[in-house]
Amino acid sequence: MTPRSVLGIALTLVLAQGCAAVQRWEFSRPTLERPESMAIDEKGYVGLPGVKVAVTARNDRATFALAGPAIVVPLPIIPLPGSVIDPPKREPPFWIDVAIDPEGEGFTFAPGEVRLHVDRRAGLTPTLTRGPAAVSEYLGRRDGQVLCGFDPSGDNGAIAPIPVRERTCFSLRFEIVPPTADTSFVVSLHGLAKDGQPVDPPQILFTKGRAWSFQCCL
Amino acid sequence: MLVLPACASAPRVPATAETIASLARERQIVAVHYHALGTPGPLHNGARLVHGSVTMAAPTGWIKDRFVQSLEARLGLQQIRNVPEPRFAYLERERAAPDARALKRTFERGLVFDFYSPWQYLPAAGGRLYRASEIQVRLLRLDDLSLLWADSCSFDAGHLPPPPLFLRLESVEKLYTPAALGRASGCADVLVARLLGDPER
Repeated sequence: MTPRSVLGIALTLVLAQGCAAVQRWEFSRPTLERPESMAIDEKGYVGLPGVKVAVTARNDRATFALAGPAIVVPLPIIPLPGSVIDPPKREPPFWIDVAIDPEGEGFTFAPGEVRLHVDRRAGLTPTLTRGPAAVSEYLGRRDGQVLCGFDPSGDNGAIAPIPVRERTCFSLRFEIVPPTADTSFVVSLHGLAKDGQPVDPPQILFTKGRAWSFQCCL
Repeated sequence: MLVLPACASAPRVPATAETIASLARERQIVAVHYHALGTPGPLHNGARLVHGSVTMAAPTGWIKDRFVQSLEARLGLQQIRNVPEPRFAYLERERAAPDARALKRTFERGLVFDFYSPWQYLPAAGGRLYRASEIQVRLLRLDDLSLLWADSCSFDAGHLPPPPLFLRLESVEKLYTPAALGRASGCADVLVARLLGDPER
């Protein structure tokens, strides 16, 4: 074996190696402010009479990571601070996703009626709404932050109540700097109605949540 | 690569005489279709290219409408409810067909025809699709989610003109030529004939 071929094999091994990363995430975890008769299931849905709803806030960010090579055994050994890999956002907007999974055909949703309360202040109104869109299909939704997927309409700014006959998603834009995970806030899910009658709006309280993720790729 | 279209084809389940007879007796029959356009917005935003291609499927709503009209005329049915709004195709775990449980959650009982077509990509310059446009149809009984009939049909979309670059696409039908839509209608007729057991033409 010539030195050149040895070098070639070594270079191929280096280039073909994957990387591994362990990340710590902080996000706002949805809970119920008044959990008398309702609960949030493992996928993040709140069960209401005849309908399930899930709300997520897109303010998650990685606060710490270990990265490294993964030739045979993953070796995440190089520390990376969150301020480098995922600095906190200091500008608006702040997006919230709402997924609705109704039974039957009688439900409507007016996304513009949802209110966001940060630090117990008066409710903020969304300045832009998107949807109806499909709900993203992935597991671990409770810890995921982007619920809405394929949006066939490309429209936004819907004002009139929209019929919701299947699992459907809406994205709401608020003109504030995304709060950090340390900041508690409440989403009042107004705008949902069944056969024209308003559904008692659940109050979704967001508190700090943490999660770890591991990625390894070749 | 030649095997791929065959692998992607939906399985055929022929309808029994009992199934055809039940269509006349059933109180609630619903016909639904799934979104056939995956790129709703303009391809260009000013000078900037937003999408390099259009994600599109066979005109599911068009074929469904033709199918329902034809079936109602052939069997003298009046109770088929043709739902105009497309649905999201939440595919089953095997990724082959939309999840029937979502239909049961919406309509609860009765029979459902659903029309699904896998997406393809049309380049911004127009042209031919990679493979023939395929429409997959099922007849499901929602009470027990039993599959009463399943079939599919393909048609040649032909050479498609370039999609509009700066306008929002209203519907997938706007991308097809009249001749291609005519072939899509023929596809619907074939499906009705197969459902009712007509001799192959």
